[in-house]
Amino acid sequence: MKFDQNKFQRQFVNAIPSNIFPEQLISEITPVGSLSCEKALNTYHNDYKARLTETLGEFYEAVWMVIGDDEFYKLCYEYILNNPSQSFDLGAYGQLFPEFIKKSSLLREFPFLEDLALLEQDFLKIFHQRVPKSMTFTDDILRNIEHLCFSFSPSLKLNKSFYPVVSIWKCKNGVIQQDKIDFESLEWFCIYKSQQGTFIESLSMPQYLTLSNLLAGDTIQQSLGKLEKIKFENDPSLDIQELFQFIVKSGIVENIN
Amino acid sequence: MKKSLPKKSIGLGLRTEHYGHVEENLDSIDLDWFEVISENHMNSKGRPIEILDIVSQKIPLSLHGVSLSIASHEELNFEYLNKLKNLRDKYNPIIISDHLCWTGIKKSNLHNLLPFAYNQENLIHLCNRIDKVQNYLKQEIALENLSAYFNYKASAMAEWEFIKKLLDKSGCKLLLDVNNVYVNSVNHQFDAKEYINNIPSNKISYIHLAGFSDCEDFLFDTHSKPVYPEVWDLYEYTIKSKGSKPTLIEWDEDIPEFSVLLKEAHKARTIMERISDEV
Repeated sequence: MKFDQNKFQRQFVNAIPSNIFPEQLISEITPVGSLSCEKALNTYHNDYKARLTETLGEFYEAVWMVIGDDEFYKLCYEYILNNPSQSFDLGAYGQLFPEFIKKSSLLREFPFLEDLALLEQDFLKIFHQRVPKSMTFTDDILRNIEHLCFSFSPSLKLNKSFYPVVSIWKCKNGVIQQDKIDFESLEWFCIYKSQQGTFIESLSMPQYLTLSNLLAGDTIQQSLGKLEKIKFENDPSLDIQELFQFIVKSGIVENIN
Repeated sequence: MKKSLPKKSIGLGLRTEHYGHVEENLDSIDLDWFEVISENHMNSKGRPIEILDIVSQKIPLSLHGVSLSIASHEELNFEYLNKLKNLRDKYNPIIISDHLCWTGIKKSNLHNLLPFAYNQENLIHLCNRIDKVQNYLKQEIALENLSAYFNYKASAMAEWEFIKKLLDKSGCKLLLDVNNVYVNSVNHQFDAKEYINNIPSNKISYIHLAGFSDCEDFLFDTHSKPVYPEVWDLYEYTIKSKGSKPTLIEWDEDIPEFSVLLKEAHKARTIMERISDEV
């Protein structure tokens, strides 16, 4: 029977993730050297698995750190089996990994794992965004600032979690020790890019709410007005002052109107 | 205007691990060009693009792809080709290259360089596809010979015979990976020099050198070690028989300091200079 390269390619692609190759496909090849057909094909299977695992490991480094090598490799292999890489761009792989983690039994031991994966995914997205065209805050602007609306850079993502994911994320670089984390605490934060790199800034709840309002198009006056209606445990004025210092210095504002 | 590489040029594959070093030492790096993996720079507006903006101001670039999948039996991916074209238009690379292989099917990319049967049917198939790609890009491309760990029973000719015919008929060039020739010669048990002898000199765009891993029952093309002495010998044979060719060192795993790579690249230049002095 005439060899059908098209059929072979489809069969090969379907078999690679599981490493279970149909007899017919095996009968079409001769392995190199002293390898068996199975071992020759296994070379490709291992390479595929290693490449995608390496990609997931690069993107979800903190998840890896938390669950350890064995669980991470197991999780990756399950993910790889169920989610073939669809794009030529390896950077696009692992988009559904946080959702996959959500369904994993690991969540019982590490309830924050999905949020941590989402944080890492957002960080990577911001990393690949352009550097913001930051505006300079002149004295004139600063004098009238409360009536102005900010246009923020697309390289900014505001987020919150019911778990201390930023603190956990910082453990991977040794910035925070794991035993110092209060696992009951909530966290508010933003991920942003500046000329100096991509960063995560922890925020207090008043800071988060204010930045959220500003991102939605409120002026500072409107945003602060909304904040006044909320009762906080401590006076938020110092936090708000710090937030504006961060907004001015971080370069996340591209325009005002 | 597009620059071209002098025959004794040496280059390195630009890798993330060396971005910082390259950026800091751009004015003093003694190198003729950098080869970048096209796909790593197609979908980012961040660091991967910033580094190309910086490096391309000082050192010529070549674009080396891993996803053209020229030997696939599915439609060409024009979304990919369009991104490649945009990258080409922005950075004006001296060469665009990819691999003589297939990498997957629609919606399932194996991110591996996979062999195909060396027969008449695939010769015609590849010629047609190369023609489409070169017409789309409006430029010549170079395709690299690969390492393979199995053969097809449906192959009707030797790898070099297929490549020679393909180069004759398609108008593309060969990115001759001397390490892959050596690895295949051991794994598939053929004479590496016979392979080299059969490649027309004027069809060689440039040469790749890399290190393999010895897995006891076969050699594995890992790009994770220095170039082996046997590969340097084959490279020397190639330069003696084909003349000097731009030569590039690839290193993709267990990547050492930049200076180690640079030393390897300069070794290639020394060989080319010594051989031309002898002639």
